[in-house]
Amino acid sequence: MKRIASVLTIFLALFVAVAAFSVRAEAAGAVYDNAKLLSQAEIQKLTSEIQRIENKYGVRIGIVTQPSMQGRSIGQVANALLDQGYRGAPNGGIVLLVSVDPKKREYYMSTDNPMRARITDDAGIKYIQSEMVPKLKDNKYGEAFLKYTGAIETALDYYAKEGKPYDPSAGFHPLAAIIALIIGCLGGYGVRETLISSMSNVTPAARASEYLVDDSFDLQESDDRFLFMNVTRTKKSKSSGGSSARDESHGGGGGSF
Amino acid sequence: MADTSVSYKCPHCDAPLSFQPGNDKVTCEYCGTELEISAVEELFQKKQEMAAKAQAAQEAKWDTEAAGGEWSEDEMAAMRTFTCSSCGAEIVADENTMATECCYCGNPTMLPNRFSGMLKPDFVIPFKKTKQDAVAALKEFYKGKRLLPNAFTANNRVEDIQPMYVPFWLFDSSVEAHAEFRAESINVIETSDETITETSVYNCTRSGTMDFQRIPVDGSSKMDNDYMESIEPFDYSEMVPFSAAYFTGYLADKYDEDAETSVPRADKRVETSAIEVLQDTVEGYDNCSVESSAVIKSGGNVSYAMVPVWILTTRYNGQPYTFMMNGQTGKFVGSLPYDKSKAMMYFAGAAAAVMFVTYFIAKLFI
Repeated sequence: MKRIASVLTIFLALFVAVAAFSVRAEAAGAVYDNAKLLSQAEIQKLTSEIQRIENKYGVRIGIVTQPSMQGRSIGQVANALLDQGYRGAPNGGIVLLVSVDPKKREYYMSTDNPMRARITDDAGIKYIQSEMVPKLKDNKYGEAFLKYTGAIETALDYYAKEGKPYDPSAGFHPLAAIIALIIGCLGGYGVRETLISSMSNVTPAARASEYLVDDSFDLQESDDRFLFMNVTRTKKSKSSGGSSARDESHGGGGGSF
Repeated sequence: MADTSVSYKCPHCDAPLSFQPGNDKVTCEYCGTELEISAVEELFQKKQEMAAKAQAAQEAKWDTEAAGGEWSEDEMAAMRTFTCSSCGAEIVADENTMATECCYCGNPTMLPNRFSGMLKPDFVIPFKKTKQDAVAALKEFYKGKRLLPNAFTANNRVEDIQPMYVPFWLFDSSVEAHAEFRAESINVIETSDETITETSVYNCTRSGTMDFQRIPVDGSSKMDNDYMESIEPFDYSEMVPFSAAYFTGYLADKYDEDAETSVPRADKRVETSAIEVLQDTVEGYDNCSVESSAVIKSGGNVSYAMVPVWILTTRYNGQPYTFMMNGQTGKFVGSLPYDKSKAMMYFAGAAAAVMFVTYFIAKLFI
């Protein structure tokens, strides 16, 4: 009896939370732009793109924007949104919640377990973040959400073909290879030069400190004068360190931008 | 023919005398007779005077004959012949050689006429290290040199090992140094939104006096300056008043760069060190750099010393390689050839290893 009561309490709380953000379970569409970040054309384009991916891979995909989280945890609300409107598809569901409150601009992607198997909490979510967050930072929301759907399709396509979750770090990475080549050559050159320099210990003497007479130094003047102060301010990156609302039935991840 | 050189021979058995490293006496290796340095000096002083006179006479005669000879005047100026007092052979040496050994009988030979017209050394640092020490030091020097060509050690033989007293000027210097430094103190403040870096800039003025003692600068143009500076330092506590008796059995050069010529090298080192001493007093800052400086010498003495150096020469692929060892402390310096294919191999190996590790690290962050 006690357990039923607690489940009802949680369900009620989530229902209230979801209702507050204008997403109703029975009307879970692809895009809910409550923060008015997108043009109508962008919404239509995103909606058709999401429907195409949903039909192709048997999944549910959602995008929800909010002007503010009103003090609530974005991860918890995203999980509730998933449960209410995007869970139940054969191959899982994923919903992206974006809040553009000037005090805290944040996002969270929530996945159910079938989707979690395809888009892992670490490599998969990180991959979507790397594609989408730069555009969010530039306030290009339409492009950011297209990156989001594109990254999801890449991950789902890979899973359909390979039978394992997509991990960008598992494949060949040309940029990493170029960086490794440059640093490798520099390292090899450093080792070579060190070994060559070790072949000679002939070094001219630039100093006479060994011949300074002990206790002969007499400091006669010592004057320190403050001239000026330079102040530099560096903004801290906000894209990392996102909150997590993962549990047994919810995956995903998020952060601020 | 009158002897134009003096061989230090044992007054007891007539065998050649040699100063043995680490001893304070000259000992005959053949009969064991021990002679005080001062006794040897007195014993051979007259012989040296006689030899010098004979040499002067021969040079006067030789110079006139040389005027129409096959050697140019420059070549003649750089070469001199001497008669070995032991075997009578003619020894050819360059104009700065003060002591050598006869190439025919191996007798240690002094060339006393070379001392005339030049300053007499104030001090000498006697040899402590032997020829065996020098050979052992060379072998030790080869160790750990990964790029050393295999053929260098396999087919290489040291062509020549010579102990030589090298002329050095020892500069004493009292200086007055002034310098201005720019110092920075950095304070970093972390807030939730930003990192604030406050850099406070100061002007620091320092003045002081200090003394430097016996900064060595070699007075031989034949000796590579970098090599001579590399075998420093010498332990001056073992330096003794000069006596030519220490030269027996060793080569010795007289200076051909006088003290005045050598002053700039000593001054440069003094200036660098004086500014560093002042800079060390600029404390409590994160960065410090020299803005301007002036070092004024307020006095200085110069002394002339002969210091012991072992010179080892070898040849590889037609190129001579010279190594030198401090004859007192055993500090060994030199430059070895390197195998280009080995160098390329290490480059490729290190580059591949770094590339492998960097690639996977880079993938995590891209």
